[in-house]
Amino acid sequence: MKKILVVDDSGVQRKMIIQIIQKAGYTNGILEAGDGAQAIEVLGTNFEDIGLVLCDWNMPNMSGLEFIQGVAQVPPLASIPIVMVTTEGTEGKIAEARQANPNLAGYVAKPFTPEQLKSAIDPILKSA
Amino acid sequence: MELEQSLSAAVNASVLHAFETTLSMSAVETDPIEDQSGIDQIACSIGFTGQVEGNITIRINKDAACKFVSKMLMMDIQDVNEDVVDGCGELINLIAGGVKNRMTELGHSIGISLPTVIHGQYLKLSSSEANKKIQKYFNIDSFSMFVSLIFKINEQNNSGLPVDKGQNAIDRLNQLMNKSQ
Repeated sequence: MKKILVVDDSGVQRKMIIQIIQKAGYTNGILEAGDGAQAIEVLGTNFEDIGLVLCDWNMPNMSGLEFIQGVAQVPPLASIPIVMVTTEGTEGKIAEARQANPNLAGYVAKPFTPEQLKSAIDPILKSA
Repeated sequence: MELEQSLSAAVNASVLHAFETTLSMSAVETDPIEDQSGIDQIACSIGFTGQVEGNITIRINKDAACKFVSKMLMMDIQDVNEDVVDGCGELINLIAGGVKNRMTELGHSIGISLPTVIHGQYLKLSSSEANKKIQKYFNIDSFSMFVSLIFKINEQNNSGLPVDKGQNAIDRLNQLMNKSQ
């Protein structure tokens, strides 16, 4: 089972997401990053082991949008499923994210219930 | 006036949605409660920019903050620690984000800043340049929460947030990929 990378500048939010993932039965290893720049480092050095990225948008140093834009442009990484998990929930922002990364695998608007996050990641992890 | 009514409704909807979804708790708007100065409190604030400029702040007592974050993390937290501060910052982020999204859907352009969290006993909110206020009290599971939006209205403009180009991310990723081969 490949690992899941959780990217959010809030430590509490990362813990909440990890709890939901683990309660859903996914006992994959979890990697964490506190902003887009850290996510670049973690993904770039562990890309063969990562099967899903859950990524916030508004973060210091490098935003989630810039991160997903970058990943889309690097061929060995472009197919790694990324689900954005963010307060940016308007249609315009969703479209902006999909334009930045046409391969975007999902979009979960905060606040979300555990069931909503699980619904977004189940199809991806079960088909992996 | 219409914009202020929309803002007020957006605050209500965002508070209710944030607590119901994240914490499975009902937030009910109530009458103003007595002054809470002297009680250990946490105030969390986020700034707004764009057509509505100002900030939105929530103020809760220490016990409420610990209770809410305990629920978020499914732990029992008794005192304000790093998780409580972070969790309260995330709470105002959810509420402000909800207000921003609802106002954006109505055609108003608004941006939000990063959250600030302050912990203390004698907290008073004020703003010298802002000329409008929306203030509400909520009861959440017998805890009280004060929400204050202090703001001014600017003319609608089209200035958006800068567009990220992603080039820095691409360059660094390619560097790491080349190192691993």
